[in-house]
Amino acid sequence: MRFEEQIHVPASTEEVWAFLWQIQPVAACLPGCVSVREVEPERSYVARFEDKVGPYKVAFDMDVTVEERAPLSLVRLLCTGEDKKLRTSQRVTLEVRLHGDDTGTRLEAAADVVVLGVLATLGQFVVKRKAREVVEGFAENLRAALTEEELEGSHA
Amino acid sequence: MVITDRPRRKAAPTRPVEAWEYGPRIDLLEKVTGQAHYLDDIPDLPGTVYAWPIKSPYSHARVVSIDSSRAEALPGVLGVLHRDTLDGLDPGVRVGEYRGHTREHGETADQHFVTTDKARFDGDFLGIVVAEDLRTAQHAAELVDIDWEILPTVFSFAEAMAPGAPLIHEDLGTNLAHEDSFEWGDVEAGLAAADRIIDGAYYTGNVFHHPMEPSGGCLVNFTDEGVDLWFATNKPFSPADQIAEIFGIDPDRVRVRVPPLGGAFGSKKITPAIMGAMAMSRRIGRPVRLFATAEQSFRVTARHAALYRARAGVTNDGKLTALDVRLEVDTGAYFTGARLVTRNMCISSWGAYAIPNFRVRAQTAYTNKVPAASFRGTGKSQTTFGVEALMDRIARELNISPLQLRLQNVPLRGRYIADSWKVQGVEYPADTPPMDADLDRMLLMAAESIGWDGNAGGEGPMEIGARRVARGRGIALSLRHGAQGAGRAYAMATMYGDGTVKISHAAPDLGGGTYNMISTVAARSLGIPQEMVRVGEPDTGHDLHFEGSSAQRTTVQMGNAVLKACESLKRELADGASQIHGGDAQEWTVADGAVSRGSERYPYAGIVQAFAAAPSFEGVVSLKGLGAYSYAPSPDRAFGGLDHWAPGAAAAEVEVDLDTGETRLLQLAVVADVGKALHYGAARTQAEGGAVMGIGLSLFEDLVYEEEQLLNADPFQYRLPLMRDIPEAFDAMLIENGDGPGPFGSKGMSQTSLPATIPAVANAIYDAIGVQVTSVPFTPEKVLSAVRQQG
Repeated sequence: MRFEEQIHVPASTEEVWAFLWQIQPVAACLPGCVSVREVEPERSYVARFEDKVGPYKVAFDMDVTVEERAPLSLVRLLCTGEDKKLRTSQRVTLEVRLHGDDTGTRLEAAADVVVLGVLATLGQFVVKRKAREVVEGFAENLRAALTEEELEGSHA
Repeated sequence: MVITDRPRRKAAPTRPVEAWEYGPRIDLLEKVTGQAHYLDDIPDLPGTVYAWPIKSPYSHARVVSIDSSRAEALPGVLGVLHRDTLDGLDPGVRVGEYRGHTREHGETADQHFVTTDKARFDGDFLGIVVAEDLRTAQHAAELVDIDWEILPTVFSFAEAMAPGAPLIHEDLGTNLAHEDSFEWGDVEAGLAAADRIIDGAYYTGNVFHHPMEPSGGCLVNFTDEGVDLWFATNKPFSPADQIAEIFGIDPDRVRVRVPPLGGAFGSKKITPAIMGAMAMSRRIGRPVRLFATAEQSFRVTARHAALYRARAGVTNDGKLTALDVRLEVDTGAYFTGARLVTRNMCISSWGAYAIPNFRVRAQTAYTNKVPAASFRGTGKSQTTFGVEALMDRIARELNISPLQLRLQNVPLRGRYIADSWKVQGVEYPADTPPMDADLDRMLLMAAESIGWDGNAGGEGPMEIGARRVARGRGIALSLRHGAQGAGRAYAMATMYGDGTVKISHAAPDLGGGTYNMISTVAARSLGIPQEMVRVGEPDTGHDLHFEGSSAQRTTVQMGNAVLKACESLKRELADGASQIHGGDAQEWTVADGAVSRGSERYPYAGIVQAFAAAPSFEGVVSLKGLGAYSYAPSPDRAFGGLDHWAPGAAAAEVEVDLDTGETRLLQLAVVADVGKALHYGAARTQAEGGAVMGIGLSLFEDLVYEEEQLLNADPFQYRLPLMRDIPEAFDAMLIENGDGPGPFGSKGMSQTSLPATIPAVANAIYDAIGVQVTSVPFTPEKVLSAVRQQG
């Protein structure tokens, strides 16, 4: 399942890029993310997600690996994890591109989401709707956070 | 929805029938009142415990580790079996639809008893939990911790055969599982002699057999004496060798008993989970019950997906000069039925036509799908769709009526298909009988039944209410080798002192009326009322071998075995009469319930009672006759011996909604040549049932593999045909010439209507919208895409 979202924030690419590497604020933008831990700076992280999909409560411990990093323009993450109790695994490739313009920065986020196992048998409609909610929520939260940060910055 | 402009037809017998041919089947009352004992109705044995399988949720994943300690610690759990807890059993022993000595049969038996290295499909068997109650077993299975390494998947022949594709079986170094070929004449010369060469490619996807009763359950008791296994299968003798190999016991110590089945269609086979239940019964010394669920059934087996690519040489006036076919077959994760099914596709890919030059080359690949195996009309639904859709394309391109094109190419009665043929490059004599059915008559009956002259040209577009629709009609022919099978069929008839007769046999009744057929044959042969005949349930303990109720062989092979058993019993009665009342046995006539000589007449029961009453025969209370049947052994490697052809014809009228792509059947007619219907109602409902199954396969049924996952393997998401999908104008006609090799002239016929129905629907859609939909099922999305292609 591939999802694409675009947001525009009134912040420079440098500010956005710097924000993206602050893991706790970024984690706060991810719906369902309850904790995140840095394993190796700018290379490897572990995050826990808890949520509800259809009738199931899900809990994924995700290994997050930075696959590609081009300062100020691109970051690509591979996130893999499993809910053993639910016998479901998840693999997400998230790519975020930054494009600066006169009024701020446009972020293009593209996510390839693969859900395997019991959860997938719920029906692709349910799984797809949830994945879309997560990606859309992430984009919206990111936009809000960056806008708020910019506002706070401008007030300061 | 009521169809007002089409005749509402109730299919009626095409000849007068006798009461015994049309009355209630002997098993009817038990079944409709819920009294019949299916597998799940068999009472528990004393001490029975319950099993729940551990299956892979992933389509391709390496098993890094398995930890069952949490499950084993759960109160009520009696044990967990997986690759690390096998009690010395060899996990590599193969389980599945193999025919014994695999190398001799060119098969690769590769589905292990327990998965050891990796799961190759969603549902691969990893182990089993046994507990005092079912809920505890289910919960414990969830507590088994498995570390997985998810691997990339392949879900089609093309993906599997692409360079660099992930390998399903690394040791083979390839995903190519099997190759086969079959040919006669000179295809290249035939194509060169043609005025036109017309090609097409037609894809048939995976489906599940979906019997009403789930597949894969059992009740097993493993003791020091041997194995007692009750399970719903069409082939009770088949698993004995595999069970014996896994557990190192004599096959004679394996006893399989089969209750009535709620349908099979090829899905009721021995499974690794049943073997696992057996292993746990052996370990804990108690009977083990394994219930099959609908979701698990979807993961037992499936129909092979296949792409049929063909080019046909034709003259301008529509005579076929050559047919060149390539088949790309997808067998799923394990070999299972790949050899058998690929061969069946090869020998049916010429359809039902007299083609002087024919060639088919097939390749079969592994994928990460549920392993495929036999399916009702094994291999035929895929190839019949291909060849019959191609025939309609030829008709359209040559501007010939689809009916006329078929009529001028069918082999007429008495014609041989070929003199010799090559199988995998080796020439053999073509040892099949001449055409023994009137294919032209069948086509005409089907067309006439839907009121069609056979010419192309649908109606529409037209508006009906708010809908914009088009209507079209199509026809198709199917042909399968009649009653194929290995080995001889045996049956035993036992007469008791009360004059009743019991027939012992190993032919499971899948729901089609096998027991009724057996009792009919016995009653008519012995000349006694049908209620005097009792039909036993299949039991390998009687050692009366039968290949199994499949390949529509049961009526011909088991029917003849029963007939001969009754003839043998009659000779025994004559012998008895001569010993008791004097004279030579040949002087005694045995018929109509009595043994007679001149004016002397003794009922059968009197002969048995006389033996039992004699002091010197104390204890002898029954007389027995043994019967056997098979067709003659044949050197032919294509059909492997064949005693008759089994054709089917279908004609359909559809209405296509041009805005939604939804297809609705307005009329459907099927014709089967049954030789002689031993029970008219049962034979006709076989033809109807096959056609309804064909409706489902045409329009709805499809196992969807997307996003690296099997997505719709449960009854809620897998669309089956409903009553509302069956047209009110639905006709099932039987041709009876009494010319079959079975009892009283009968033929095998249970698989004739299904393969013909699918292309009849396809061709009707083609007629309606002017564009072929080349992939089964014909979903609204595909049809709408074709409609838009037409503009």
